[in-house]
Amino acid sequence: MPAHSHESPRTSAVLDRTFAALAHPVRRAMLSRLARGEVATVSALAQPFDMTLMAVSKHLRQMEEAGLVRRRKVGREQWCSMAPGALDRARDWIELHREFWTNALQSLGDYLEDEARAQAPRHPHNPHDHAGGKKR
Amino acid sequence: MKSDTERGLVVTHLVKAPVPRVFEAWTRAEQLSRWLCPDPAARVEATADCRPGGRFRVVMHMPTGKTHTVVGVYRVVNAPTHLAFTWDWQEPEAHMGDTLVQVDLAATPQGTSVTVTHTGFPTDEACAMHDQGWRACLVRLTGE
Repeated sequence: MPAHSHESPRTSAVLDRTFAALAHPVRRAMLSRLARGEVATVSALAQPFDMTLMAVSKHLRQMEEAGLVRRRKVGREQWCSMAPGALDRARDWIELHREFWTNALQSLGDYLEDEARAQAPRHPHNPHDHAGGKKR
Repeated sequence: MKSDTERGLVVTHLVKAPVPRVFEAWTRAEQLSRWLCPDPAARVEATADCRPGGRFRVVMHMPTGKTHTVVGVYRVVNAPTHLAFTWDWQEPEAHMGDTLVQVDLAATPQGTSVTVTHTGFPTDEACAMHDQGWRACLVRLTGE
């Protein structure tokens, strides 16, 4: 596929992060808990899992980067809550498609406009174009 | 009339090309493969039999190495301004079912206004029932 010059603020990479964050069962479980309105420390969230705090923290950071979870430091503890609107599943699915079509239509435009530019005459006002027969 | 089963989206974009050319880009497989993907760095293969009842298949090879396939059936083909087809991601664990895509092309002074209306998305309840499948599908869709 030809390279495209457009940069969309919400690129596929942003979407990748969002849904990659939902891909892991540990992340889903933690997010479900936070989605029920719980606000919990990292250590409390880590409780049910046979994982190090560092591993759990890594999962949470990924969800934070995806905008799903918020973390606040209070004293020595990190408190986690779900970011507003983070778990509207059906809406996420629709929004994913909105992004898909937005990006795809941008690509459609780039594809057709690049083609039109490539076909446009180079020197429309060059007097040499009118000389003699057809140029190869 | 909007009901839960009509949930969907509308996206519009202006393309600087004439309507028939845009319609061609939507209906020829070799041209679909040039643009129908959210990631310009992906490699896309498409087959399309663009007539009512005909099928299409688009395979997107993402830069991450993951592949996503969508298939569908054309319902309406009204050259050069209207197209309607079902849209069904082929993800093994997902049971999201068919959604419907309608494409409307309108001439503007600059070229063509392209409107995509995508409807038939499941409700929250349906998503709840297929929680695991839904998430797996989203994962695959984003190239994880």
